[in-house]
Amino acid sequence: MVRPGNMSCKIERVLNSNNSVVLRVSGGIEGEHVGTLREVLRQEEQEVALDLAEVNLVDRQGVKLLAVSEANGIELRNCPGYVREWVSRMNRNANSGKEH
Amino acid sequence: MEFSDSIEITEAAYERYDRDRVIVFTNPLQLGRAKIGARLTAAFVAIVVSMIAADAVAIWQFSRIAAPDRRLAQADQTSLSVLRVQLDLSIFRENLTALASTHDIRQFTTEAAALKQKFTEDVARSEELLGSPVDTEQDPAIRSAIETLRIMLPSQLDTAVELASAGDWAAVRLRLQDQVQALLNVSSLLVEKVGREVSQQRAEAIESSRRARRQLLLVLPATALLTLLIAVALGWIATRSITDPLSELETGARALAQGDFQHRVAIRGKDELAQLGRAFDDTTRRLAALYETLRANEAQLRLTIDTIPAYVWSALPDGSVDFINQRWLKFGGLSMEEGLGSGWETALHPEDHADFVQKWREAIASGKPMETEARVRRADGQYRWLLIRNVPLQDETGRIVKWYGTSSDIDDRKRAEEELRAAETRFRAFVDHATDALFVHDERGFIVDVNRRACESLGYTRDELIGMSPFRFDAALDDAAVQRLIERGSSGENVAFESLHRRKDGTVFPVEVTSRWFWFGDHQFALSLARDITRRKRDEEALRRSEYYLTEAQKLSHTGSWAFSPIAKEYIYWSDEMYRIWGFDLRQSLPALEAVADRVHPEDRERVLESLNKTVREGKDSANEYRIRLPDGTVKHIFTRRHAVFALTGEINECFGTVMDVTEQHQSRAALENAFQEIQELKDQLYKENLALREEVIRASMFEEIVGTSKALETVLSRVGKVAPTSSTVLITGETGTGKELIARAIHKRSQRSSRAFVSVNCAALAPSLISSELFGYEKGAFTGATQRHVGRFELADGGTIFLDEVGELPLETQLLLLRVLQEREFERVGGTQSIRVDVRVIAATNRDLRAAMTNGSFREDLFYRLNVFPIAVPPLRERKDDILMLVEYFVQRYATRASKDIRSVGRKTLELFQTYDWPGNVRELQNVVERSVILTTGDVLRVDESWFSKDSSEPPSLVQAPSTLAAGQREEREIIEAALAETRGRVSGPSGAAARLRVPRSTLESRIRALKIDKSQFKFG
Repeated sequence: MVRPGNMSCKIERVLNSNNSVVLRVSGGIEGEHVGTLREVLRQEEQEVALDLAEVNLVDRQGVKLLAVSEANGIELRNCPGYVREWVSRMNRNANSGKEH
Repeated sequence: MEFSDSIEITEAAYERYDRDRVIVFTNPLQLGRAKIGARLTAAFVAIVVSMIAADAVAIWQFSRIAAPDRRLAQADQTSLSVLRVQLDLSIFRENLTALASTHDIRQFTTEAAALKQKFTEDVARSEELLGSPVDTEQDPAIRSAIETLRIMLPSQLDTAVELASAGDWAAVRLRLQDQVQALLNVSSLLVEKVGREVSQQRAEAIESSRRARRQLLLVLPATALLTLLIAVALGWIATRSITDPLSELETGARALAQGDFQHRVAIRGKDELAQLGRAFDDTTRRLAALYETLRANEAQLRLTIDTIPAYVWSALPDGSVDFINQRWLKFGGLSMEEGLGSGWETALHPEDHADFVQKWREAIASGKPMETEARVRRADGQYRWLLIRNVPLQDETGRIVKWYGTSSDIDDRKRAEEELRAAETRFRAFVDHATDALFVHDERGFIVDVNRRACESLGYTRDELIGMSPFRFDAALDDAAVQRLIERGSSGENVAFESLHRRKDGTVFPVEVTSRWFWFGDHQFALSLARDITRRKRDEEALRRSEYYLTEAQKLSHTGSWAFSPIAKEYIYWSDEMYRIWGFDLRQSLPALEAVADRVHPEDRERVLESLNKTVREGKDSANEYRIRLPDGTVKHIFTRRHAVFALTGEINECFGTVMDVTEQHQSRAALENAFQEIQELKDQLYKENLALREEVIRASMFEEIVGTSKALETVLSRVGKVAPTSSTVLITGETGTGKELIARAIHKRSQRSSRAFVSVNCAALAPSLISSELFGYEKGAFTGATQRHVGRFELADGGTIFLDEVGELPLETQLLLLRVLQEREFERVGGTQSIRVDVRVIAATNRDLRAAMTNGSFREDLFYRLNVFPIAVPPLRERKDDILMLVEYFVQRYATRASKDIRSVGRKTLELFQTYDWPGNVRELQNVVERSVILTTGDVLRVDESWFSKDSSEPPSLVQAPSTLAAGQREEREIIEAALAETRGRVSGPSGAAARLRVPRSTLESRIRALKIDKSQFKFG
């Protein structure tokens, strides 16, 4: 049986009428996709939110990016439960100074 | 004409020039006889004296005004002192009278003494004032009254004191009343007379003062005016004595500036201006003479300039031409007016114009001479090359006052130079394009010229090489060797040698040098040609290595090589290995053909010679295996190949071939053949065994993990067996957990595609927006995140099988793409334009009722019929309860082995529970329950907990309805799912999960939860 490699990641940019941007992420936020998403976020100058409704898989670096993004004021919309829990835990640990 | 260096200005000389003057300045006061400084000093002294006299007059007048005031003040003081005496008398009388009433002798005495002292002082002052000299006559009664008072009062006072001392206070009072009163009368008279006199003096003083003031008003302006007139007169005279000669000098200078050398300046006197005027006139006369001389010289110079065979001009410091000689004008066909200024530029060749003008401007700016060449249009329109030189003329301060230029026609020389340059360029090009480095040395050995190849090969520039000794870069020759080469070459011998040249970067390369010496004029030169033989050396080295390797290879392979001349009928080459194979001495010369033939086994000799002759005569390749017998009796088996080489004429030029000692191979061949025979027999045997084993394996693994013997399952497996060898699309339906993927795998394994990939895709597990890209792949940059090309599942499955699980969850747009793949077997990657053809067998599976999905429009009808070519319905476990026991045993064995437990049987009650339960999760649920039981079982009997089984299992689940039938609308669907999740605390799978509660497959519910964006985690702690 042939197993494919890393899950694909697709990032769609939606510009709202209030000039805010929603980045709709599909697939996995893992491996090199983390860097891609970080770069896309860095390039945004307007208010930006991440729609994670179609995210299936997130690795540790991906969660770290999401946690940092949320700490920087980026809204995480439709965040899958396990990702939500992981991000929250990481933020709590970061606030308590615990090595994560 | 001679001029003296110094000019002596004398009165006589002045008189001599006087007759020629036009304007004569006459000074009636003859002030010019004195120096200017003395004149100015005298004028200043006179002015100062007159001012001092005026000041003295003013002081005298002021003193006259002040005298009456002084007299008036003195009169006032006199009147005042007399009044004070009168006052003293009054005080005297009253105070002493009062004291006399008190009869205090002590007080009276004291007071009397003080009054006496005061009175005496005041009288003395009055006398002093009255005694001062006054202009008016004084009344004698005044002095008499003062005298009376001065004498009388002290005596009266002394008497009063004596009376008081005697206690005769009445007498005291009487005396004070009578005698003092008399004195008071005298003093009153005195006051009256003094007052009258003072009034008279005041009137006189006022009158005198008025008179003096009136005189002052007249005297002071008169004095000031007189002083001013004196100063003006002296100033005017002194100024005129200077400005008039200066004006005269200015007029003379202006006339001189206008070229009027006849104008004369005549200034009388002996002062500096007079001397300057005479010097000016003398200079004017000399300049007149010089001017005449210059005009004559200029005329002569112009004639010379116009006559000389050169083009001459001059220009002002700013570069504008102010003179052009006639020859130049005639050459250019210009008039003087046309050529002056910058008009000459029109004659410049258009291609040279900008460059020449630029250089001319630079020369003007820098003040440096200029020399350049330019083409100038001649009067006939032809352009000629001129050599143009410009030089500046500077004054003693270095300032440029003029530019002078000449031109000479160099057109013929220029053309000759150009031809020579072109010829030299051609020659240089030939030399530079030579493939070898060329050096020209002089007799001392120094390089005088090189070509480009020499520079390139050594890494030096041409300038660096010229003047360099070639020994600088020759890394192989020492000085002595070089000297010998020079001697050989200079003696006329052509010298050739190999050496090493060192590049500028230090690297060394081999060269082959040939030198030839020749005479050029009176000097001898050498032309050396250095050829880079790096490649040749490398080839030679490679050839040497190749020969070595060949020799070693021949030695290792016992193969020799040879060459034979058909014409000479003798060997022309034998390799070393040939000598060893044939047993000839390597140190000897090539063996003769006969000697070689003698060593061929007699039984093979004729055959060998015949083959050799066939190649030598007919040119055909030949080969023989034969035996040779060495002198020591050893027999060797030889294999020979021969080949003929033809000349261009078609004749056989030579033959060559190889000889391989195959004695060892010959000896082992029989053994090998025997072994091969044995192997062949074993191979046949193994093949047969393999076939049997494969059949057995296939039989055993055909339906791996498909356990059961029920009728329903057998029906399914029968259909699998029928459809597997074909490439038909299969649609597997069945509830979740029934093993649809196992059926798909079984089909793949039994198909001809079993050696290729089986790619499984869970369509419900993919994000909707990524389904297309996952199935068909995508190109780099197709969307944000597509950082590299991604091969899709269909492409991965090329030649094999793709299993599309949960195909009913595909979005409509993906269904269309899938339909195209099924129809045309080709697709494009997302973001790509190239169609990709694939040979893929599609097996789809779903737990949904696709017909219902078609009805509500969530599944394409055409795709359904494309997929539903060969439907296989996998029965739920409740319909094949006969298989439950077998499945339980199978799973118990698997998980007990994995958990290292020895479970020998299943509890009766447990078995009953298994048999009565409806298994909504089918085999997967059974598998999970057994795994859990194995983990929890401590003994050798498998037992389960009744609470694990859903109580609500009586109602059998059906195929999943389409999402639209799950609820009337999305809102209702959301409410239903959220209610189920709330009841199960967010749990989806398992017997007590929301999926079981809603009777929908877990994956379907997960898909709907994602689609409706329901957060399951919020129900975990509700």
